[in-house]
Amino acid sequence: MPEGDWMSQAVRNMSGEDGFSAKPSRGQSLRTRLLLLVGLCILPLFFFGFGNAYFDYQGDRAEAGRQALNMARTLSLLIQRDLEARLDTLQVLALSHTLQVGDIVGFRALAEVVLAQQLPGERMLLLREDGQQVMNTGLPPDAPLPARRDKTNLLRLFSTAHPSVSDVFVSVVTHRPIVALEVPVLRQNGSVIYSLALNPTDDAFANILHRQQFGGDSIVSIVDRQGVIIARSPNDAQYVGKMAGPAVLPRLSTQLEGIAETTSQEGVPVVAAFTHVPTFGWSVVLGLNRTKLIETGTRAAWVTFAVGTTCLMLGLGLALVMARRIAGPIASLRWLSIALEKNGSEVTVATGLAETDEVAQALITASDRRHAAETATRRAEWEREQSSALLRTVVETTPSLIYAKNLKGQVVLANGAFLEILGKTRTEVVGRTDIAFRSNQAQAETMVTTDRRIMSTGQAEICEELIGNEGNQPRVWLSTKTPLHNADGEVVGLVGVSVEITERKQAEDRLRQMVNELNHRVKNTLATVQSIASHTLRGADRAIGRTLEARLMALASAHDVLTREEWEGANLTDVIAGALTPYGGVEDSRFHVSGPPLRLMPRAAVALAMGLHELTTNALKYGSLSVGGGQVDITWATVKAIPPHLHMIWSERNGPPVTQPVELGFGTRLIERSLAQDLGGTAQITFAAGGIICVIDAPLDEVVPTAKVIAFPKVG
Amino acid sequence: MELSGTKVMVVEDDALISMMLEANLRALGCEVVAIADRLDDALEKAGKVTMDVVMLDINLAGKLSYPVAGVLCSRGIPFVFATGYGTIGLPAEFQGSPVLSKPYSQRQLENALLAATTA
Repeated sequence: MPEGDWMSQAVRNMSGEDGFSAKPSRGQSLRTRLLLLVGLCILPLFFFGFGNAYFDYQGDRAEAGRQALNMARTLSLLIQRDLEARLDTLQVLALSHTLQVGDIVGFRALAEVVLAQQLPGERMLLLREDGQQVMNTGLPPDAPLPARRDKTNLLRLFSTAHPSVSDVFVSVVTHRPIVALEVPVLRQNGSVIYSLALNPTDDAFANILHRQQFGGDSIVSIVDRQGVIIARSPNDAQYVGKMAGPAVLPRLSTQLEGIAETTSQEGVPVVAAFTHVPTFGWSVVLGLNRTKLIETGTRAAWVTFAVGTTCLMLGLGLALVMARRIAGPIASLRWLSIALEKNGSEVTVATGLAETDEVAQALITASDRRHAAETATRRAEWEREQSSALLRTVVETTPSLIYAKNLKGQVVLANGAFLEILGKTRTEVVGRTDIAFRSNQAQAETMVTTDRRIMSTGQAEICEELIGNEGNQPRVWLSTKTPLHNADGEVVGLVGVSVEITERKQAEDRLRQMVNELNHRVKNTLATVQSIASHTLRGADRAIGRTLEARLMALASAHDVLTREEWEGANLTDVIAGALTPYGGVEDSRFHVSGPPLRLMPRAAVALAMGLHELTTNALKYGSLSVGGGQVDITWATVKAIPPHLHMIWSERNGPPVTQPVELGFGTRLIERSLAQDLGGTAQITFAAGGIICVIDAPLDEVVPTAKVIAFPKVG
Repeated sequence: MELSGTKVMVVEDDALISMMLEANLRALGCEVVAIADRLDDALEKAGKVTMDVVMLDINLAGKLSYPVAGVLCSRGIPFVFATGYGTIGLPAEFQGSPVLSKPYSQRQLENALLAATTA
């Protein structure tokens, strides 16, 4: 990540724009929530209290209604009984003989007696069908009699021939509102002659009402079929003849009884009940004052309101106090966060509230973790950058070519050395194949073949590659190419490192030439020595010349073996074969050679070759090979002692008897001294009956080239 | 011992070795008809001297004597390579030719000459 990005990321982390961000809260404040809580808790109580008061009030109202109705019913029965009693009296009088005979005067006397005894103050009348009064006890006997104007009840009576009570009408005599109770006066044939009417006194019904003593709060009225008030308590005189209240009036004609809330004529709120007086068409209306009811309900409501409001205020006050007590510690968390930004984890806090203390501790812990994580991230980032920079430096400054290719053979990475060798820019190489960007197509195709093999087999290879620009000496590169694997282990390309080894190759070639030349010179020198000896010994004993020549030949033969092996060592069997070649070789039946394969150091190989040559020539001259049927056994073995040894025996058989010479010859000395010395061991010659037996014993360390293990310094 | 009277040319740059070789050839009864120690000299003589066989040193003062062998092949004259290099690096056309590795003994010389002349 570029440094700028890292910085901005760090700044973002510092300011806490991600994660627990401090964006302005859209939520309500703690105080608002607490106030809401209190309000929500207390308001239902409020409503419950009001509801309770309301239902109590409603119950009281219904109860009052029922009570009023019962009282009205009682009263209507009383009125009925009173009316029936009066009508009974009238009916008895209507049967009077005086009436039947048309003795009006006599009937008046009878009626006056009855009135005086039973209905004092009331008047009795006789009326014809056309309303003309025939008798009126309210007037003197000789006074002219008026006619009734309102004939509704009179017509009903004459048509039905049944007793009837009238509605309120205005008296033509007193000019006051009155009612009339009337019974028919019948002839023998059943037709109606007169109406016998009774006008009760103005206060007759009012007195009945007064007697019931319903209490000062009740208002009672008797109304006629038209809703006109016949009697009333209280204020009888004031309201008689007037219409009943509008809440009741329309219902009187349609309903037998009912309850209504209304206001009385005096303006008093009442629960009113009405019921019909059976048979007669009148009604009784009774109102109970509901002021007290309303007052009781209102008081209950006020009490509820007062108590509720007090509780609400108290609750809200407490909520404010609590809010302040909680908000303080919460606000201190903000100071904590600022302190954490400044001082890291070196902060301790006591907010005064257990929960916020826990939150504070959690914040400190989280801050610590975040600081630790940030430090770790920064450190990892730094280390990554360091190692990346190191890697980049290594890749770019190394003289080796470093490159990577994908499966198509396109270069995906090439370091500076790679581009410099090619003399191309990065854009000319990256994304293209060797075929595309190399001028020498033959070299490029060889390279592509190698790359494909590595990517298909998945095996790394170390190979020498010839790469040369046009017109230049081709350079030799030692390339290590390793397949690149993805996470699933599939080969996705290869990465290669090439080191120029042109000079090393040239040096190797020079060295090989030098060794060849040296071998040539050694052999030529031996030939020259042979030539000098041959010239020097001319004229001397020919045997001496031949011996010398044979020894030189043996030496040359040993060198031949070593030259073939490039002086790294020689196989023991090859050395023996070389030594025996002038005398028939190992295939010759006189020689019996056996032993395990063993590689010898150059010095040991030469020493053994010379020793074997001496032993062979000696055997030919004096030993077992000097006679027919003589044999030589050459056997060897490695002895696993400490240290391990090479044990080799030259053993002659079927030869002439040999005796130890008085003076040791050169050959014997060569064997016992030179061989022992060059092998670092011992060589013992025994002159046995069948020929010489030579026992050679040498530590393996001295004769066998040790495989040198070069400890490479460990990389990585 | 059919070598007596055989006409031999010696091509050898080392004087001492050449002297010994001449002595050994004479000891075998051969007649040394020409001696060359440089490539141009050897080339000239190989093209015109009458002879039965040639002892041909491969390295003539740093120059390879294969052109001489080419001339001898064209004339049908057998030859024996003598070399201090062993058998390494012999060109393909001379792979089958007899080679004597220096130093060689009188008997090896004799055997090689017999093999070359009778082939």
